[in-house]
Amino acid sequence: MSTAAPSLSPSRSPARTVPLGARRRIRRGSPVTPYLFIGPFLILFAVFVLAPILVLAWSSTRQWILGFDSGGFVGGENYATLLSGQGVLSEEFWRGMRVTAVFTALSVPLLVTVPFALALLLNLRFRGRTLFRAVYFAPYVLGVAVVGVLWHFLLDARVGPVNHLLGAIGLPDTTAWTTSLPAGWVSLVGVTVWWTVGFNAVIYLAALQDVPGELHEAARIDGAGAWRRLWAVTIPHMRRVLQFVVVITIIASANMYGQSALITQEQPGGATRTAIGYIAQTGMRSYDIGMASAMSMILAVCLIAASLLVNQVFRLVGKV
Amino acid sequence: MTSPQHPAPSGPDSAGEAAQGTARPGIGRRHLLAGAGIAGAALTAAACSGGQSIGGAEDPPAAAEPFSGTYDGPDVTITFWNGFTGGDGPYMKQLVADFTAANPAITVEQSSLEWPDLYSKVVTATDAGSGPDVAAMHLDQLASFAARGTIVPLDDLTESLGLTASDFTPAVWQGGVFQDRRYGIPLDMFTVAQYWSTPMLAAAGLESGPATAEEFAAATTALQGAGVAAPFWISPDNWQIFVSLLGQFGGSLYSEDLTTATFGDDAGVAALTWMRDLVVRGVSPSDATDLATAFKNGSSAIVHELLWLINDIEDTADGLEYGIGPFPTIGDAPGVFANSHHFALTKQADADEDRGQAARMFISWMSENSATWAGSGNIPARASARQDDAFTQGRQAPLAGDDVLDSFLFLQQVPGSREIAADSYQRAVSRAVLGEEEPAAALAAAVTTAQEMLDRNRELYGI
Repeated sequence: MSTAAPSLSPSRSPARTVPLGARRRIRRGSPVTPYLFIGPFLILFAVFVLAPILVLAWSSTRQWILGFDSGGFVGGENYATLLSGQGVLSEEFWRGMRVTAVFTALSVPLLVTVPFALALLLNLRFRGRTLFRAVYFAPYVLGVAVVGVLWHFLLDARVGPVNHLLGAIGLPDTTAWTTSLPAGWVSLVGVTVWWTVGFNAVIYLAALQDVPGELHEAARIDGAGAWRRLWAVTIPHMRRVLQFVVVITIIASANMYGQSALITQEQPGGATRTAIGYIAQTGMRSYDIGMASAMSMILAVCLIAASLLVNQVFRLVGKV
Repeated sequence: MTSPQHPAPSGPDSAGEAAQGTARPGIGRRHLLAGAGIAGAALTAAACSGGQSIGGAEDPPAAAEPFSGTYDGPDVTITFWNGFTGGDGPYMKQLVADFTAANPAITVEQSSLEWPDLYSKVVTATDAGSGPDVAAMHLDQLASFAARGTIVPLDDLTESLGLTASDFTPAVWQGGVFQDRRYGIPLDMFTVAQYWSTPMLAAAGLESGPATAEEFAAATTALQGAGVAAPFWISPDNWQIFVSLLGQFGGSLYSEDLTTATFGDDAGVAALTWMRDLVVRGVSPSDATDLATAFKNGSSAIVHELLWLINDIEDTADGLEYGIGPFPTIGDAPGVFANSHHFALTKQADADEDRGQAARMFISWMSENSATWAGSGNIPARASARQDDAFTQGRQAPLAGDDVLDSFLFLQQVPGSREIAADSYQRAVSRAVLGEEEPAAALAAAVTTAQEMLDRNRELYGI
């Protein structure tokens, strides 16, 4: 004789007195609510992000120069011109891409590691911690134009205070920070790190505080020193955040324009003009919308590839 | 002890169905993305099909009736864009206020934006009808906008006003012509002047700035002897000096028919070599950028700068004793870079007859009453305004002598000239002065770039 176990599910007796729908209707809110909440943002996103991207893709296949009934659909001709490596447009564009690549390669390692070290320090307990957190984040509040103009004058080789102070403490004070390379790279990367270290540090700080204290305690009991704890406990827990920071830093560095336009003013001789700088010149000063769109698409594809690469690397490292 | 699985911030590939349990019916994530894509595509299709075409340089609509010299229509408002955002802004505001007082029927909405913004916005704004009716533009930019039809010819206006070359100077009057039509009426001219520090030159036994190449060399030697280590600073941005010297040595940026880039010839090499030699011989430091500050704080004794420095010294270094004179003749003949602000009429002004007439009234009045503009440090283009006390008392008056005016070298009317300049000779000047490349090689590379851009532009613009 089987004893029926206490049934946890509603009984399925055919003679129902309560309709099926009524029993299942647990008030959880309308299923449409989430979509209403994201609706406004979705509309803005579609209009201001998605539509322009689609228009960009469309216009990159046309010869479109403001003020002229020029060309029309030219298919991949813009891309062919740019990828050929011949001619002024292509040479200047790839020059800009090289500058972007150099800047990204120089700035991303610093912008990933320095804020992390900073966050570790700011996570310790000491008096004035909140003040320091505010101080390191403060430069990020400034806009790029303010930062650019400010540092352009500070770094001026002749009349800028930076060289003056270097001379006062006995270091060489004639470096042309804004008109020569490689000093120009030091200027651009240095200013960018000063400007955005706070932002990455705040993200790291939030992630650090997520790491459960019991793990550190357990590791300490097991005899792990600070360095070992960092690598065995902290960083593995922050893997996702690290991945996020690396990807957004690469994208932000690749989109750098303001610093090179204002601090080094794309000197010497255009050698610090980034890809975005050349796209801005082509699109907004030469009014060549079609070509500028094609350049933007190529840059976007490169960045997508870079992001995928980073994700792959993190996935592989995570498995090790 | 295994560490508990701490829910880490989820990446883009870890959220989703697993957290939701079984996939629910109804609007799923895929449907939403599809909907957004369709919405975006629909918007795109709407944007691309029909709508206004950004038109080409069609023939401008003829004004309904020729301009009579006065405006007697109904009250109307016109928009005026200019780039006078610096020390010259107040003078333009004063002029506009004076115009409104003299012509109460016309209200002028003035917008002063930075020159790069003005140039990048004016094409699309006038196409949409929300741009200016009258725009102030630099002489060298007229061709780019005329070729696009953004600004319209003013020949009918100058004819009905009876303006001729004798009312201005021949060079600036001719400078506003592109493809045999006039697109701008000059407001003023500005040029590179030579400023010198009176006490520093006196200490070296000199009375005034040098006027020839020999005098220049002698002056810098004397100044160095008197203790000024770097008496004259040259910067990588001094392409205006390059253009001046190029003309002095008998060359020009482009050929007469504007089909060939010619600044890499012997004249160009001579010009750039003179500039480079200043750094090589130690007269100028190699990394000078802020020439104005160096002159104001006594680091340099002579500087070649545009006329804005006059007001700048008055504002920030009042009391500095300095002299001002024409650019020296280093080459074979006098010649100095000059540019000019012009008034241009945009294509949207004639959309309404009253606005078109009012805009023409504005342009002609401003041109006639430009004496007050001398306060901005520029040289009025109108000959009558140059007789006025407001100008003759100004510090830039020595630069309006007839011989100096005759030596003005305006940039040629080449569409897209600024973009070509930025990537070609301006870069060559920068590289040569910074010592990164020999002048001849830098100019040769620049000529190749400029020629290619010139050819492409001529093909696009159909000229």
